[in-house]
This record gives sequence, structure tokens and C-alpha cells, in this order.
Amino acid sequence: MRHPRNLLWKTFVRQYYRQNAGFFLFFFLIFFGIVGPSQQLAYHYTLIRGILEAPSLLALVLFLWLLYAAKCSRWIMGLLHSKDHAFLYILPLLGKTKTFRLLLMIQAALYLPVILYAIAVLIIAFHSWAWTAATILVAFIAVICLGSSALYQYDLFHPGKLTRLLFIRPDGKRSVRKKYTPYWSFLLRGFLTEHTALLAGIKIFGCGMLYLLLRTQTPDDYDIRMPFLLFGMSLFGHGALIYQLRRMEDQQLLFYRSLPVSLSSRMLQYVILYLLVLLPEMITLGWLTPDHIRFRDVAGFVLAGYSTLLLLNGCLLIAALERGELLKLTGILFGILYFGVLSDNLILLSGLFLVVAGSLFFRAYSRREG
Amino acid sequence: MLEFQQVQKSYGLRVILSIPDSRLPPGTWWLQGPNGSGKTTLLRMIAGLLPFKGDIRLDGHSLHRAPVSYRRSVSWADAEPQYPAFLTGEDLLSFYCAVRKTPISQAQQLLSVFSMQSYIATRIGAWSDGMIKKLSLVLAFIGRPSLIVLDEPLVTLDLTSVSLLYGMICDRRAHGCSFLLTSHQEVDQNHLPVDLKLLIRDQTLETSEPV
Repeated sequence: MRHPRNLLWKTFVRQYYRQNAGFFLFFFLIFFGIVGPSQQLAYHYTLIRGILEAPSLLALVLFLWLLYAAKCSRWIMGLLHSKDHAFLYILPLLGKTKTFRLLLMIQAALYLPVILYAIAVLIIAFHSWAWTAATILVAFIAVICLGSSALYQYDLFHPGKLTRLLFIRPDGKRSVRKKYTPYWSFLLRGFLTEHTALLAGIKIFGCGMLYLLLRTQTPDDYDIRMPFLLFGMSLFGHGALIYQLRRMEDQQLLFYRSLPVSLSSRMLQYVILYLLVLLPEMITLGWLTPDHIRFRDVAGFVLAGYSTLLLLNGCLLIAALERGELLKLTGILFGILYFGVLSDNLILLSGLFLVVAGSLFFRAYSRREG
Repeated sequence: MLEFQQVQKSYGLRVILSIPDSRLPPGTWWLQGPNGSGKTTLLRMIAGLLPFKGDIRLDGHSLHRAPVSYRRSVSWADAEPQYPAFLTGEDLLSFYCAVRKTPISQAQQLLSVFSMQSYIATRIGAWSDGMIKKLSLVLAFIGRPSLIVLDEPLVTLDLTSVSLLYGMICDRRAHGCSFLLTSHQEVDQNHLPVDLKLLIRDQTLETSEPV
């Protein structure tokens, strides 16, 4: 049993955490970076009491955990179906019980961040006699872990059957529809389908924090430093998204480079994509304007976010940065922008970022190794 | 006509390919060479995927000076094509037709050759390697390119599909389209006449008449 366990641990768990380092760093910053160390316990205690006492907040948390479960399942099913991991189909030789136990272990290891937080919630639930919420949480985690493991087991023991049930729609001979799908829509669909949890997390956090912090602003104590600091944190999450986008383009959308498309049209795809990616933040800011945030600051926030995304995109075209390097670069860019906030030059610096992003793109795109 | 102008490709200090001024007349060219000799690199350079020193011209269009016109004349299919699992074959076909300004009816004809209509609207993530390979070939034939570059086109295809592909190549060849292909498998020259064999040796390109 030890050898299969080690193999599966290396294949699924270690790779998962390595590849999603950016994702976890982003959520770590959200949960432990927005309040000082001395206030951590009080902050999380209040948050957990809210989860236990407000059914709507509990429902929201369960929804987010469900999204994370979907991310884990997608990862495991993706590996089970990949060519590189075809050897995993010998697992059924271990028998149903042992295979299920191994798959449950993998699922639990991938779901560990949620399980750990759920344990903290349960401890407080037991102390405050919140039995209903505690039961719902335990049932939820059990259903996710056992249900997902059963799904993987079914897929291993009935190869291809699940895929056919989920994806193939036999609809006979039909003509190709004429509807044109632009290239940016491929990229956007990549975000929406392959990185749903990360995208949802970034948007819920970014928009939620902007809304909560800006709503309390009044003309008398107007200060955008803290909202911008949290807005900047969501830029780290966007950096992780752009990194995944570059990987997808290099591996699965390579054909696009060989097509007769001008450089300006290629640039336009990213201009549209990042405009759409930032749309939720723009709507949130627009909603709060002008009562809680000034027009000039809205322009600064939007331009800063937008130019940073385009600049990160351009930098990844110039050099094949690793995740850690990209995070450092995002940190530096954010530092420059924060200086812009302090010195009241945010729009100017963002404009400069846009110019650099454009020139990087035009210089680097055709020189990039495909 | 495909022209190379002092083409040089290096990775770091290591020169992979160095091709002096040379021209290839229209025809079907079979590029050969051992593993790692730079065949795929050359094909990707011709397809406009890799940067390099010098220039490549096709029918007078320079890859570096007129990249859009050049790319309109060349089409490419990878040896092991990969596409995002969430896309459908239909998404890619309509995209290619729009970019290459080709009526969708041409794509439908190509699909019917390989009998792909039944699954073209499904997600590529559920397709087999052979189905994906056929899609990549169909995409390479969309439009009216004057050169189609095929990297290992016979790999993963079943025998029926191989003979269908030979037919498609001959048909396009009759309309003046040139082909550059690599294959470690023997090309049946009774069904697919090769005009010129190309060999990569000592980082350069040599030509020889087929036997």
C-alpha cells in the first residue's frame, strides 16, 4: 500500500500544490494579510461567528467551498484522463476498497485548506452550541470528499464512460455553424472554465473589499490608500491568471501565431480581454461614484488595474518568468502604483505603464519562441 | 516558391540551423533527418512560429517585412496538436474560416472527407488523439494557402484516413499548392508523388531528387 500511496502523493498532491502556489498565496493574503498579526484571532473569530449565525453567509461560504471542490475534481479528473498519467489505470488492480481509500486520501489532501478552516469553524460551533451549522458543515465536507472519491473510482473502473456521459452529445451529422468566435473569447473561456475558482475568488474578494471599504467613506474622512492596498492584492491574483493564460497560449493556442493576423489585431485581443476581466471592479466602482469615491480616483483605480494587467502580459511575452518571479514583479509594479497613490500621480504612472505595455507587446510578440 | 535568405536559428550559443540563400520550386517536399536534427524547428520557422535570423519569403512575401501576407500564404499542422479542452471543433473551424476569410462551406467539405460531422460540435477534451489530428489537418487545409506545412501528418491516423489525406494533398497539389512534410513513416509515393526530398545534415538543408 505504501508504494501506490507515495506514487499518488507525488502525482496528485505535490504537483497540485506546486502548480497552484499563486492561487494559495492569493487566498493566504486575503485571509491573513488584511489585518495585523495582533488582530488575526479576533478577525477570524468574528468571521466564523458570522458564518455560524447568518445563514446567508454560511450559504456563501459553502458555495465558495463547492467551487474549490470543483477545482480539485477538475485537477484529479484531468490527470486521470491525461496521456502522461495513463499508468494510473492499473489502480483498480488494488481492489475497490483500497483504491477508494487511496482516492479519498488524495481528495482530503487537496481539500485540506477547506478542511482545516472547517475544523476551526466546528470548534467554535461546539463551544457556542451552534449544532445546526456544525451538522451542515460536517455533512457538506463528508459529501464532497466521499462523493468526489466515488466519482474518481467510477471513472477508474469504467474508463471513458463518465467522459461520454458528461461531454459527448451524439447529435448525428450537422453542418458547422457560421458564428464567428473571436480569439479573446477563447482566452476568456479559458479563465471561466479552467480557472473558475481563482477567478471567482479574485472577483468576490476584489469587488467585495472595494464595496465594503468605499461605502464607509465620507467626504470628511476620505482616504483611498486602504481601498487601493486591497485592490492591489487582487492584482496578485490576476497575475496568477495571466501566468496560466500564457501557458495555455504556448501549449494549446500555438496555432494562432501562424495565422494571418496583424500585430495590432493581436494586441486588440488582450485589450478587450483585460477590459472584460476588470469589468466587475469597474461596475463596483461606478456604483459607488460619486457618493463614496471621486471620479478622478475611479479613473486612477481602473487605469492602474488595467495597465498592470497589460504590462504583466507584455512582460511574460518578453521573458518566460516562473511563478515566483512573476509575483515579485507584480509586487514591484504594485509598489510603484502605491507610490503614485501617495504622491497623487496614479493616473500618470498608470499611463506610463500602458505605454510600456504597448511597446513591450509590439517588440516582443514576434520575437517570442513559439 | 519558397526562398531562404541567410537563415540561421540558434538556441543560446548553439546553432541549430544555418541555411544559405536557396530556393525551392513549387511541389511536394519531404523533409527528412534524424531525431533532433531540427525538422520541427524548421517547419515552425517557416510557419512563422519561431524567431530567427535572416528571412524566409513565400511567393515574394517576406515573413519579416510582410508577416500578414506571408502567413496568408502558409498553413501549418503540428505533429502532436493540442487545443484547449473547453473548445469545440466547430469553434476552431469557424475561427479559422473567419481569419482566413474563407466560406464555411469549404470547412464542411473538408469535414465530410474525414467524416467528422458527428462530433465536430463537441468539446475537444473528449476527443481521441486521432480525432484531434484530423481536426488539425482540416484546419491546415482551410483557405487557399500556397504552401501547407505538415509535421508528421501520418502519425495517429488510421489507414483509411491516410489514404484520404493523400487524396486531399493530390487535389490541392493539382491546384498549385505546395506541401512541405516530415514523416518518419514511409510515404507511399504511388499515391503521393514527392517532387523533392530535403535532408537536414550538419545544421543545413540539402536537396535530392526522390528515388
